[in-house]
Amino acid sequence: MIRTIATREVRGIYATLTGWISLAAAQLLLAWLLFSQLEVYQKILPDLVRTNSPLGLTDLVVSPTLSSASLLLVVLIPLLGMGSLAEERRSGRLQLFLSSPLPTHQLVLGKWLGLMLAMLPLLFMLLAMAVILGLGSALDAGRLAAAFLGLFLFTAMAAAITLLLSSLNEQPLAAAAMAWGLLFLLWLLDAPGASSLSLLSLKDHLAPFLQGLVRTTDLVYFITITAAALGLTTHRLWRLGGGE
Amino acid sequence: MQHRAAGSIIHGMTAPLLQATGLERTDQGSARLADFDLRLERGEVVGLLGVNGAGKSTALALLSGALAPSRGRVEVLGRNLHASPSVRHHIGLLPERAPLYPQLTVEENLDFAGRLRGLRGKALSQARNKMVEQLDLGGFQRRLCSRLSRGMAQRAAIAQALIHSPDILILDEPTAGLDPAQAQELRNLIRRVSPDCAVLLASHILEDMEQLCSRVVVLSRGRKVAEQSLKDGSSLRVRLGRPPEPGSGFLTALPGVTAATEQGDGWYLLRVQTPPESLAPHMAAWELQALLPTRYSLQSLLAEALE
Repeated sequence: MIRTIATREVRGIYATLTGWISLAAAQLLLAWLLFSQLEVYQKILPDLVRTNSPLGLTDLVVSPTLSSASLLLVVLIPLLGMGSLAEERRSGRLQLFLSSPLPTHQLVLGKWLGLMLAMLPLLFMLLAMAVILGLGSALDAGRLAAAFLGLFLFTAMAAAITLLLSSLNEQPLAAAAMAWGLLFLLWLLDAPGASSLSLLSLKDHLAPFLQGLVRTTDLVYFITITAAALGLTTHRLWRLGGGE
Repeated sequence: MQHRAAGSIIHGMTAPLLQATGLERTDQGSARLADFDLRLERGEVVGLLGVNGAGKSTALALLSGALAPSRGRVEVLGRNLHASPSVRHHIGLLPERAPLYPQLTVEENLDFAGRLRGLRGKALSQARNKMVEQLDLGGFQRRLCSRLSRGMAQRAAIAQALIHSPDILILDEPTAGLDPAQAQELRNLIRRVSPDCAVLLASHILEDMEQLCSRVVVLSRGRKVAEQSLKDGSSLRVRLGRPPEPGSGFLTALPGVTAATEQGDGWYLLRVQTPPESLAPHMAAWELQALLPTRYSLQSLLAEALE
């Protein structure tokens, strides 16, 4: 049943104009960013060669583009996932789920996987751009793999947070606003003056992946927040069904 | 669930399809529903009647398993609904708003609802085809639900509720927002499916109740205030030559009479629970001139219950 719910969720997202327009706009923006970085890279390439700089295409083009992509995902995931549960509540369809024999956690996992799957085209396009770039030059494959693992974990976490906030609201836009607020707050926790909270900083945990480092602490950070958000969503739906 | 449960046998007795006992739902200290009992048998169409906010939707949510009670229990075929989620296979629910995905076709919505209730493969396609045929959805099955008329969407939503052949069908305001022709069509449809299951419907439209229900339960402020059979003979119009003193209570003191309303010119409307012929000898002293079994008027029941 998880697969059925996930498939329906993907169809629900891409049956709307918002879904396609968001994906297309994100893709265009990322392509433009990549080309801008590439242009800068070509300009400074003679200097890099002259100074024997260890920096290459991966450091100066791919990593900055993937970093921008993560910020774009902060905007995109709540936009596409805001209605996931809020719309089910508003339309009365949630009652249908709650009165069925389906366990609540399966509903939550189905919705979450659906949102993840809906984001995959963007991640694949990013990967395709990097691979095409790699055809004409040498890219650091290990570093690229680590960066995509980071983006994937980040997508999983943002989708789980969006789902949780969607379960707390009947209005999809309110859910999106709360998700944006929370994700940007986590993003900004590395700002000066927020040192005591920097353990929770999203940017601090994502940056090592983009630099090619896969650290246990970062893995634990993303997996813990994702699992906690999914657990809280399940609990929230259980409460909506009258659980005391 | 393509089979029909015949009712489970407990200690030699057949358990009702649904039995709710002492149901209560309290939110933030205030009771949305209290002290609610109900028994449903196969073939019955029972109406929940009440003004807006009387607790009808809460009762339906509790009885469908969508909401857990604060107190009391709901048993479906003798098994606790909230403790055994698998029992929910026996229930089909139509919430107040048709729970269809607008971006899916009728057929896809039916498949989704069927899967949600455990149907797979051939059983699912057979059930879907049966629903399309039974509810006359043939010309619309590949149409997006966003493009259906209100009446057609309601019909598709009922097909969704019925796809797993539930023993209990729960309908919340099924004819609300429909034009008279669509409402009548929907009533015919409910009548068609009702012999195979028990139907519980909530509405504040008296016409629905009078045309469909064999029994109604009146709710007011979260409590059951009346329960009345609507079968013919559940009330009597009598004419008395020498009626008793008004307000003496003689008529309501008769065996099986639960309420009496004076209608003028010697006529009285009695709400009864016994066969009419058994009452005649008791009224001889008041010169019984006419005794006409009649269907109890819901308007009278509501007026009495909500007094």
